[in-house]
Amino acid sequence: MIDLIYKIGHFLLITIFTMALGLLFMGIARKIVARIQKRYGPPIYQPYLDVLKLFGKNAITHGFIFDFGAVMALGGVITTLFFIPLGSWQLYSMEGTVLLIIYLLAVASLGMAMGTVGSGNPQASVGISRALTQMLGYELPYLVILFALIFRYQTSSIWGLMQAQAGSFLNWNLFAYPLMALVAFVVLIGMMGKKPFDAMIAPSEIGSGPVVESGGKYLGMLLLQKSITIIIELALYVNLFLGGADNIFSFSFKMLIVWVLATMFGSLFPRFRIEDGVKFFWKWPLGIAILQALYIII
Amino acid sequence: MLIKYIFIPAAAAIAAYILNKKNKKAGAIVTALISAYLLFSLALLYGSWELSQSFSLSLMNYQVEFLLALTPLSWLFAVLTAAISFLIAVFSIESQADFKFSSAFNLNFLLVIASIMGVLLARDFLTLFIFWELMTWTSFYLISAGKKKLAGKAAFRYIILSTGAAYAFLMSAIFIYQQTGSFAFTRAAEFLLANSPVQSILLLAAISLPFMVKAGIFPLHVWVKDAHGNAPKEFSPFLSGMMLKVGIYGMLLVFHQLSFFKIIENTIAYRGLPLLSYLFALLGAVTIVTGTILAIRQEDMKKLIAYSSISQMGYIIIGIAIATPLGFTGSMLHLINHLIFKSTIFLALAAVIYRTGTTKMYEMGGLIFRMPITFAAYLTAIIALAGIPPTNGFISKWVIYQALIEKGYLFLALVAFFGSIASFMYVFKPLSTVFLGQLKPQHAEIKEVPLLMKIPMLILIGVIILFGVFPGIQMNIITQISGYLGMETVNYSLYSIQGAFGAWNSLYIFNIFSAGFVIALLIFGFAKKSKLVGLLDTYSSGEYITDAESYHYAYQYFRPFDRIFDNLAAKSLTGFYETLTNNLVRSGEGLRRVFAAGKLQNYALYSVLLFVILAAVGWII
Amino acid sequence: MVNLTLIIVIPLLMAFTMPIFKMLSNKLPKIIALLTTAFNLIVLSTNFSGIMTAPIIIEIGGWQAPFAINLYVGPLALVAAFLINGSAFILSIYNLSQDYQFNDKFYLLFLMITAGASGMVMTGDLFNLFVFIEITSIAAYSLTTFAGGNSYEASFKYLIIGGIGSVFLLLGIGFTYSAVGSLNLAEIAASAGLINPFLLQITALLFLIGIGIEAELFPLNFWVPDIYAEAPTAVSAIMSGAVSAAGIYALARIFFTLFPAQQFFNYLLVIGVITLILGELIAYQQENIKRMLAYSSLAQMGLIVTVLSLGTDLAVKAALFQLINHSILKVLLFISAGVLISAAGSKKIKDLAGLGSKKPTAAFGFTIAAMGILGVPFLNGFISKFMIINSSLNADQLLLTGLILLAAVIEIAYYLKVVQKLYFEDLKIEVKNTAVITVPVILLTLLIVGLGVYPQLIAEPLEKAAAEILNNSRYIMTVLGGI
Repeated sequence: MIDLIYKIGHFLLITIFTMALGLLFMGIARKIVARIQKRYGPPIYQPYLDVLKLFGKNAITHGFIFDFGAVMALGGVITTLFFIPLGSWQLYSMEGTVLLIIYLLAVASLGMAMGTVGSGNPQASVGISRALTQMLGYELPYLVILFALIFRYQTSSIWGLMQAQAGSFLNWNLFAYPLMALVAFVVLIGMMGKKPFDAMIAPSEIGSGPVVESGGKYLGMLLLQKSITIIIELALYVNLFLGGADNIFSFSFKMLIVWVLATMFGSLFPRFRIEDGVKFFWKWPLGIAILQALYIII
Repeated sequence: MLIKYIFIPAAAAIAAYILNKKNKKAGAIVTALISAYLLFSLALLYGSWELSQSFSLSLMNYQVEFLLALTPLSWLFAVLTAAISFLIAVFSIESQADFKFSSAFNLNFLLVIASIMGVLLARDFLTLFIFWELMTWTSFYLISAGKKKLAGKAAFRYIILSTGAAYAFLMSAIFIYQQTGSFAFTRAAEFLLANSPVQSILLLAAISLPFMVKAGIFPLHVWVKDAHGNAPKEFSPFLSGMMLKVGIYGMLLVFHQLSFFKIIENTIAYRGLPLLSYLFALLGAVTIVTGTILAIRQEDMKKLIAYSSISQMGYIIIGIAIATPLGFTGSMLHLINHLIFKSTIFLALAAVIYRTGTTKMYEMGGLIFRMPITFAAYLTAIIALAGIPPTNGFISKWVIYQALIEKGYLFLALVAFFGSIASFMYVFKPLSTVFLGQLKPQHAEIKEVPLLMKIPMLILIGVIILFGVFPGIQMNIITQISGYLGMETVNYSLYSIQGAFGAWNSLYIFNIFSAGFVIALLIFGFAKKSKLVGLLDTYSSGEYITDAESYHYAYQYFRPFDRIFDNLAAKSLTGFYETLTNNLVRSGEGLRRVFAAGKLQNYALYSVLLFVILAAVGWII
Repeated sequence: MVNLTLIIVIPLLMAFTMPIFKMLSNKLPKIIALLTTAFNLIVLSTNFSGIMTAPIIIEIGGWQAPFAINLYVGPLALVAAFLINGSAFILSIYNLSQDYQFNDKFYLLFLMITAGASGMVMTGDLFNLFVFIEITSIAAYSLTTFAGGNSYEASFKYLIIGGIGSVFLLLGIGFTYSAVGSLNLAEIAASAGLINPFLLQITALLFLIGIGIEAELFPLNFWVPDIYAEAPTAVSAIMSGAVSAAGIYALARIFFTLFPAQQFFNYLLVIGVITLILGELIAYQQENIKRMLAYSSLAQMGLIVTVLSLGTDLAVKAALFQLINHSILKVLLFISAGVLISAAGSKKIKDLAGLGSKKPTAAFGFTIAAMGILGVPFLNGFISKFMIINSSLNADQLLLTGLILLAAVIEIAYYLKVVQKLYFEDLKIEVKNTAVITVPVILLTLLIVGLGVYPQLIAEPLEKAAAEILNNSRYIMTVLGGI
């Protein structure tokens, strides 16, 4: 019983920490982008204020599915959080987590998709249609990379993959398989919806796409979901290619580095059209990933 | 005893036809009762794998033996058939109330069930062929009963392709009969093993043709979309759910019981797998890709799901072809799961068609508000189809991935992933265009479907979740089948399965899922209440919105993606077949004009010509 | 054991007294026709067991063979005679509801054609065969014209081609007589070895062409579509069910008994296959339902001849069974089509749409007969198809089997087009009143399903018939020696 309470407490703690860290990262990103664009930008803690404000406002809803979608989105990512090693914190290690995480993220996306499309605004539908298409684009190279790694290390748990890079930092997959790391980085930018892959959000084109109808607590929940998703994706990258870390702080530090690089990279480009984005992903990243994978397998 | 499984549905078919002429619902009730009976009596037979029956007939001084037997594999398929027929029959009691062909429908449906039982229980080629032909013919009539002209053409293509393939089967079977003196599978297996490999492989290829047609494997998949899409709405679940699987049953027969794998064991291998098997797996891969890409383009929801069925069959083929314990288990799991969730999807779509009368997705929208239970069924089923935990679809896909990664088949794994991710796209399309979005004014008053139609959908939702959390239930029978076919089995317990790189524990996942969901719900609940507004009250940059029709994004939902494949999709395989047959039949017209033009002088000339030619031939030879 | 000559004599007698019957009552001709054909069937049945033990030989006029004309009725002839008279009987029932211009003359000719065809299969003399062929053909020419309109042209074409056939036949008979000195079939068979081989070839070819016209072989069969399409339904049916069967019998007699030679079997094989494929291909294109059935008929004839020419015991049995099935099925098809055509008022297939609901019996008859031809299990066509494939593979003829199956697939295409139109499309035209054919449909369906489920019913006759035709020395012995 005590054990269960301890576990629940642990779980809540991780959740809150992740949300906080994620929001912080979002703030840092806004600052960096602002500086690149020669502005001052909002303070780093702006997202916290945003979330608090949003939860305090009234919102409109378009029916049951709108509510359900928001809950499912946030619930999905919180579930996913369970399986990611964050430094030395891991709630549950199990084989097969790599593939599981991809699918659990899909639960969250599905929830958000359902909810936002249920609002009846066609801009949300357009945004989701683009998001799904793009997902197909970047998942393919990513899965090739995962496949190669699983085959190479004969384990499909992230913890296992992390452990396999233990030892000196030259063991990191970043240095063992640099091409794959590069491809994964590009995929990461796609996953996070940064330019040049942000047609699904396209603020000035389709009114921010899926979130067009969300306000108040819905937007708040979606923001929280986004923050956790950022951490999850970064954590995946760090665990797969940067060898994870022993403690949460060095882990967060590594995540920060990747995040900063990704943000800087993402503020430089204009937007790809969706089919160009998909075609891009299927040309170079997929090609390089396949080459590297074949090299590993054979 | 075993013959009763064939005889009872067949007899009931006639009864159903007659009764249905009096009362429109009677036929469906008969079907439901009979399938329930079949289900229960088959369930009681679990484990009695020694049951067999044989009939000897002296036919024109051929001594023919008809063999029937119950094997674990047959049992599984038979139970699945009975179960799904029962659910469909219950559903159709209401939905066929004013269907013009309901008598013929129930007659043929029961006959289809009877013939499938015959196919499954057959242990010799002749019995198999007889019931296979019966199944093809009765399903032909069933498909024709759909939306008039389109259904007719689709059924037509179906039967031509099916029968052509069946004739190849017959030729091969009779050839084997002449070499071994018997039609039985066991004798054929010995003969094929002892024979020259090339000839055996050719014979087996001919035998597997009708199975490949039924299962919709590339390049024989061209009939599936139109047949499944245009069949009567209650028969589509059965078509996509069960008939495709009967083809897979046949393939399993060929692979395992007719020693295909043993024959090719010593041929060239690719990464430990005989090359022919790998080629077959590649066929499965192409099927997945074709089905998926074409599904995304469809505007008609039944055709979309029909293409999805084809691509899921590809997964099953890959699993069977690579012939590892994990692969086989994954395929069988996927087979059962696909049946369950595909039927759910089709039943939900049938409910929608029942209320709205159309299958084009862009003509609907916002139906979640009027048909919530149907929506719930559809949602659960597509979560299973996309392979998202904690539904059963995830488990079968996971096992197949494990099987592929274990052996390092990069290309196959890539295609499998592609199929899975892309399936998010095509399952989301009907969800978004039919159920979500703007409610059209003409649909503003439609109601949810009647109770008898809700019950099957609810049962299926329950089963999806149940099998998702407790895969052990399915693994019991699958292990028996693996043992029967001589393969190793996979370790499992009630709620976990042992994969190649670790085990999957569904109960745990389900618990965690609930935990996460609860937390999110708490956050949601503690925030301020929100105000409910109508669908038309949305952000539109200050424009006034008056008409729901133009505010519903549905037509060409994935246009950017489709654009990538426009060139490829233009080279359709259907077109190839059509050109082929058109040329063939036009030759008939040409020949007629040459020979039979009606000129008497020509006819008279022919007689003399024939005489002269034959005399000359006789002289020379 | 009623004397078999009555089968030929009574119909002829009744035929020529038809005008008197017509004077008595307008309805009488139909009933007489019905009774006569029924009588024929009864006569055949009484002789059944007798023929199964030994073929019956009847010498006409008491003169011994080979000086006189004799009738030879073996199992094969019995089967053929059953087909002929059975078709006639069923069609008489159908005709009960039909009214023809010059009623008495129609039934006169109808009985004549029955007698002629029966005579063709029962005779043991070559010139007698020729006479009966002429009787049959003349009756056919005239019967066709009862439909008016285009049927005159069709009849004329058949007349000319038939005439040419007669010329070939007479030439052949002449050569044979000059070489052998007798017209008795058994005698000719016995002396076949004595004839100059070159002359033998020519003679056989002459016969091939002469009989080929009756047996509807390529390229001599182009009279068939016109006749079947334009003639009244009963006439098309009797031609397809009875006369072609008689033609096949004659062909078999000539090439198995009189002039057996592998070379001719090869010719027949090739001609048969071409007939089959050509027939099926052209049938698919047809818009007129009776023309479609006509091409289907001649394709089936091609199939039967092909299988027959394989020459093995299995093959002959298969071909015979196919012939039996063909007669039964085609009669049913034609009468159902006849009803559907009168209901729709048009022979075009597209005008038959939706009649399934208004004319259920006819539509059902058509459908079950179509399924029979296509070889659906539990119907008679399946068994014969199976036997055909078995015998063809047994003879190592892979390509042939493939072609036969290809033809089968094409068949499916055009028959199912019609079936779909009947049931699954909407009614477009007004339905007129038509004949009632419930009894024939029921009878024939019982036969179709019965033979399909329990083919043992005719196993014995088939056995014996196959044995008989393949063994020409026994034929000679029976006729000449054993008396």
